[in-house]
Amino acid sequence: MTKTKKRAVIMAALLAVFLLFAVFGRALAPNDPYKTDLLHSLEGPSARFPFGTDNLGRCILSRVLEGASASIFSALAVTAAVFAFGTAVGILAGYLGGAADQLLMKLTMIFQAFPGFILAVAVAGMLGPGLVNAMISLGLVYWTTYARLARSLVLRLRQEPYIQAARLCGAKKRHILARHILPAVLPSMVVTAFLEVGNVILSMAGLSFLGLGVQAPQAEWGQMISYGRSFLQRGPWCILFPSLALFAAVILFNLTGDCVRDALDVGGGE
Amino acid sequence: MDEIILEVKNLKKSFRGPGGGGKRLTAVDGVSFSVKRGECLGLIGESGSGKTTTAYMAAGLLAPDSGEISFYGTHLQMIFQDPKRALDPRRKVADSIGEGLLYHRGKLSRRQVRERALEAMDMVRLDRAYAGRYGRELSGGECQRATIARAVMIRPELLICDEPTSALDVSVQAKIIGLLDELKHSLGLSYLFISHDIALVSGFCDRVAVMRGGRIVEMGETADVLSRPREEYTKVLLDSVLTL
Repeated sequence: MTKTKKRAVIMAALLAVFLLFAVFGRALAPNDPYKTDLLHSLEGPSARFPFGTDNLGRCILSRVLEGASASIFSALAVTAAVFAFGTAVGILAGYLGGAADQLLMKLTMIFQAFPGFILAVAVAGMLGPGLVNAMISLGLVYWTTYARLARSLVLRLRQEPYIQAARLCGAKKRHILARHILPAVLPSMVVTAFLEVGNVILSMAGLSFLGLGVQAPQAEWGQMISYGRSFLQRGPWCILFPSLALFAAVILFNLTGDCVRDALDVGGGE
Repeated sequence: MDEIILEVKNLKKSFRGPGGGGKRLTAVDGVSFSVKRGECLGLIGESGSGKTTTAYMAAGLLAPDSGEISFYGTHLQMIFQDPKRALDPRRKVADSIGEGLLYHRGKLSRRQVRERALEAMDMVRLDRAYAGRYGRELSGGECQRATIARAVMIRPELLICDEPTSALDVSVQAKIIGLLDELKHSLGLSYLFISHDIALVSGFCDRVAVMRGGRIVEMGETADVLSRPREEYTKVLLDSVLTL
């Protein structure tokens, strides 16, 4: 097994474990993540509460596990949606060219004119706080990356002799898109998606931190970090553990993205 | 022999200049010629003279700004300069060759198309063992054989060759030309043959047209043009070969 492959397998295994935690978080939680118990307010890590408790006596470990699904799966859902939408827009713009290209790219430019996170905050603010609204606002920010990348890839491909040859063979636009363009564009797009998941997770936590995403009492890492700030002096674990979870998630997705990129470069060579 | 298969009248094409400024570069400036059935017309000239643009327009891959293109056959095909880039890097060779018939296969099944692709490989003398390989695993000459196989799948009447040998080694060039010449007779093909290499053209083409600055400056029987060039530019072009 090559070094690249070994790394990819390790990263995939770690990611799988992480995702399992996210899926079965509630079942694995040692305590009820929402049960308040003022007798155990702001207790440090112990056998019963491995990550300590917050000011209401809620188990931090249980809340971190419970929050994993909101933090990770919302980001994955947003990434999947923007990947599909952005790639479709980019490919159409690049391949159709002309007026359609102009229109679609102007639209992309409008969204890109604003700093990404500011736009997300503004949209989330307008739509009102909540997980779904936060996802919509992040979707509006992130799709442009895929649209622009897909378009530039298609523009380069369009001139390739093998595309011209396909046209001469009588291929219709849909044939060329499905047979030649999509398979050429997808690997780069998938790598980009993997590398972007980390950013989306961070932005999602950021929105929740600002009170625009997941609302209390529902557990979510960004929201937990925001809430824990008030007890930074007396109970630093309130912030430490959700931050570590967030850190680990972002790192893991970024490293996996690197592995996927290496793997696809090796396997799909030009 | 006098039936015309391709006729091109007063073709013009300009491109937007570099930097997107208002100045347009004229690539082809009023080109007219015709190719007779079974004939090979060579289009020669140095790079930048508009040969390739003319070829692309004749093939219908590029819309001319003005002028007329009349093709009197049912199918035409094209051979490209860079054979490696003329094969989809993600598709197997037989699959790429099969594409030549894929969209016109009528009642043929995909399996039958593949069988035809293998037969086409025999015709261009490309080992059937290469059917399952990718373009990058083949040499330039083998890739060019594959693109020729793809081109003849549909039995075109006209083959437009855009410098089909200039990306290949000299020893391979002769073999590809030999193959094209053989197909000319066995399939009754006509050719529009683009090249900057006069020596190559002289053996293969019945007539030649010399292009310069987007215009045809001289046209006639190959032997006449090469032995008694009337235009000063043709002489320069010929001299540059002889002094090599």
